[in-house]
Amino acid sequence: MNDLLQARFEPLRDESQGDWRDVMRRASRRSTRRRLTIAAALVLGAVLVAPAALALRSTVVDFFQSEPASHSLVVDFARMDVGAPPGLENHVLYEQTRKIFERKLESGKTLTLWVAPTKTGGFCEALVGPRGGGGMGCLQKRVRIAPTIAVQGAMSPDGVIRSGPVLVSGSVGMDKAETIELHYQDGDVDRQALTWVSSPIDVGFFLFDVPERHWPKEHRFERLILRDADGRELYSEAVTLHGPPAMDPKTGAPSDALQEQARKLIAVRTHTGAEAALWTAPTADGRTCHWLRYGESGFGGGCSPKGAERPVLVVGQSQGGGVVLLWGGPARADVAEIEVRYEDGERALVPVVEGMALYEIPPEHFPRGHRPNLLIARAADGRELARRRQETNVYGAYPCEHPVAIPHGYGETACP
Amino acid sequence: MDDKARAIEELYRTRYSRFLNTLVTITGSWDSAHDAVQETFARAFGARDSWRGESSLETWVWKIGLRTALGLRGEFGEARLNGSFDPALVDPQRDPLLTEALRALPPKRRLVVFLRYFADLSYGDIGRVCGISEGTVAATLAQARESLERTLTEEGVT
Repeated sequence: MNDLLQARFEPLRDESQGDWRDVMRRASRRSTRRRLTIAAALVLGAVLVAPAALALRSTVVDFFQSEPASHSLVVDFARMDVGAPPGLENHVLYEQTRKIFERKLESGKTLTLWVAPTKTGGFCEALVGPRGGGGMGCLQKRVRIAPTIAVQGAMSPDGVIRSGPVLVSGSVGMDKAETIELHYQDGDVDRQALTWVSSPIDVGFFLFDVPERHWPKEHRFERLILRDADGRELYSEAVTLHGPPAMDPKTGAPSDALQEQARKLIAVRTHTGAEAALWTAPTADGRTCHWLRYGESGFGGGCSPKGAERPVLVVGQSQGGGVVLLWGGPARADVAEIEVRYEDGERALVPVVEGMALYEIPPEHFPRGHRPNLLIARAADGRELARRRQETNVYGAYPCEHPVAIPHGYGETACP
Repeated sequence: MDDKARAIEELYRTRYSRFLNTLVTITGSWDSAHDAVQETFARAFGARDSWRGESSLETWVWKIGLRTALGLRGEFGEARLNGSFDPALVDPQRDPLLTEALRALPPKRRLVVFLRYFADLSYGDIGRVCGISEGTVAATLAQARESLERTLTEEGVT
């Protein structure tokens, strides 16, 4: 029996090799964090006489020793990837979700920051109130600073904040950063120590609860500044509160678009008989807006910043009302057409008009085995400029008559 | 690099898959098990000066590994191997009968089986890792084998 058990276990083994360099990297980061903690302890005596900027020291949270999330929150993190559009999965390791900090706001409400690593070296975060809810987001790699602005109360269409809380939160990826400052237009400054989190997260987190006196437009925040342990500025970034993303309710056009100059750029008669159309219009400050309409409803859109670099192949996929539309741009000027290749060998050519493309995926290509799996951008002479694989093994990307339970989807259903 | 550091690296290079195969029974997924192994060795490397040689280096790292994996599961602040953890084969469909037979064992006996057959640890090392005597390990493994044999025989597959 002994040998039989041995033989039984043998094929279940994974014989993959490890990554020692990753171990060293983790060990090094742990060591850095420990040094920071010791440094913070050593300066404690000096804090009383130190200037405010130097009195703050970052704290360090040992990720794996931190409080694990409740089952319901783990499920919330797990759901982030359920039915995610092709290529946009976060690959969150939801079972590792941990509590980072808890903050009481001026309103009396308490928010808790929960974080989970991703398979790709990034992390996902959620700021959660006492009754759940709250925004969730993911970052696939460390950046110097990744701020998020949230008006959790009411805001009028012309940008007046009627109720709070107003939060500026986010993460910092600069190793030497100890403190972060939020500067306001009227000269006020809020300052706080970063909460650094150990490997595999390896970023510092912050959360500013913007006081009510800084809600009016002329008193709002305008800049975030990172400082090292000696108070030296490491990095500065502008932060601006924009009003809600306004779209014209009738046309679906971005509010900045000069509608008297709007043009229908591409129109497609879909299999349902309704028209899908891509519209364009300039803005008063020289930007160009594009928006998609299907029948009587808007499918979204936006306005490109001035002088922005155009990618070679930028195509998204929208689904609604029983149609699936590929649309994208503005692409680089030399892109003349996009070739769509299907799993079953069929091909289609989509012309690019003024850098934009619009194409309906026919219903016979909704089922698995027939879906588009490759997009190729071509120049006018047929030269291939770029290609992108399309994920086809996805739930919820194509319409169907009978949605099914998503594997590991916690009861969620979607079209297979 | 000092002697202890070199020994930890050598242990990692020769035993990575054993740690992975064993810790995955605790963490429940290959990704988190890999993460647990990496974190285990990073912790061991950082704390190598605290290893005084009371037990073998491998035994010491295994203790860290189990604590790390149990921490990942979030079921233990401090790992207690007689707690309510529930190690299991991570891909049950690859051997459903063995999975079923193992499930019939109490969790601690299951862990001893995994440490024996996935980690290839000796009775003595299993005892030191789990904080039990070598005799208890032998008895536990004997009971586990007997129980597995009985279950698998009932299924007519031994």
